[in-house]
Amino acid sequence: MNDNDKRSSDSPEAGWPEDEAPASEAERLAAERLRAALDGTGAQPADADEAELRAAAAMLRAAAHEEHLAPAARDRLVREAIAGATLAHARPASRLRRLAPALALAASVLLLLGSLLLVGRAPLRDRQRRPAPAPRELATSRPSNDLLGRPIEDRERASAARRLDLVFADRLAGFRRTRLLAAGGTP
Amino acid sequence: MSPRPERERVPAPGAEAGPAGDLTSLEQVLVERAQGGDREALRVLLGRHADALFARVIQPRVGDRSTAEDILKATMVTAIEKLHTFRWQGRSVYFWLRQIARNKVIDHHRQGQRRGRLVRALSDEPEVGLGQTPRSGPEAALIAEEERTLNAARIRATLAKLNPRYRRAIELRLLEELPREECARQLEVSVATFDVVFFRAVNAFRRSFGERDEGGRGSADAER
Repeated sequence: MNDNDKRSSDSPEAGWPEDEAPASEAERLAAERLRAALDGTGAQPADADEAELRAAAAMLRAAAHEEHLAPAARDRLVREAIAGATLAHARPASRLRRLAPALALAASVLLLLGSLLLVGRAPLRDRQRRPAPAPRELATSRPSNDLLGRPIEDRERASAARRLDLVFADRLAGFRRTRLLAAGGTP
Repeated sequence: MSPRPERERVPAPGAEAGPAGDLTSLEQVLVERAQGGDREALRVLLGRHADALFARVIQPRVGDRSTAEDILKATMVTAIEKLHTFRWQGRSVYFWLRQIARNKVIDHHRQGQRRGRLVRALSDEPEVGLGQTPRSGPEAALIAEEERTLNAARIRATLAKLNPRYRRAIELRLLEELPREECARQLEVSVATFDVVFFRAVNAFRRSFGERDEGGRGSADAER
């Protein structure tokens, strides 16, 4: 086989240097993957060893052909880096700032509820501080049917007002009597 | 290094007037203003060194352009977040940025589960620029050039240790970027044979890169 035949044949055995060990099938496949990777058509490296091999080839190529950043790419990367770093630092504070209005509203509502509870309970506490011992006959609530003479069915406004007056007058009389008794007087 | 836009040559407001060309004084002012929260100063400071970091520190050690850009951005993000820890010691902030970039490159290779000789070689690279006079001239540009020279010397020294066929295969395919067919023709082998020879050559380079010689020095030191 002459030199032309060696070069024209594309078989792995063609022109194989005599001082080179024969190539295994695995080695030929690995060589093909490296070729594809350098051409930009290869798949991801199969293992760490292959990854390092590709990195070595890339380093060799890069060392011989220095590549620079275009000004536009440089400015873009700097801008993105500043935005990314600032955002990373501001994220906790901005989250707090976003929640601040909701927190303020919640605190206001809680304060309002608390105030209402305090205001509502004050008269009760006052009553509890000044207990009036009620006579036994007036301690329990009682229906007003005996005052009104019949169960309340009439829903007319005038009748309701009259019934309220009757009940109120009766209860007020009872209250006066209770207070006088508590004070040691006689009704 | 690529020329800087004209606006970057205007000293920051309030900067002390130093000797003409005393870029180190300007850089100190930029660092202090950036540490104080001046975004414009930060933008100018990073823009001054971005290209040198990319072309001389990251790209030669990674190869892939897109990956190199990602690493550069990660470098700058880390630098911004840690700028408050930087203390001016009379030399360019480029050294500090360079160290961050180197660590990012090593992290990148480790994340790819590449823990072999290549990562160890990158980790053992000697420091550059220690002999530079801190306050003289365009310091960062000189350091970046020394970086490139040192890296090229390491690669040449490693190639010199390979057998002539392997060295030639790498030179033709990667350094001169010839097509496979032309590489095969020059080596007087078939294209398929060249693929295998080239594969073996890169493997041999990878194993040999960063090896120390019998004198205990790295291949780059031996080249010096």
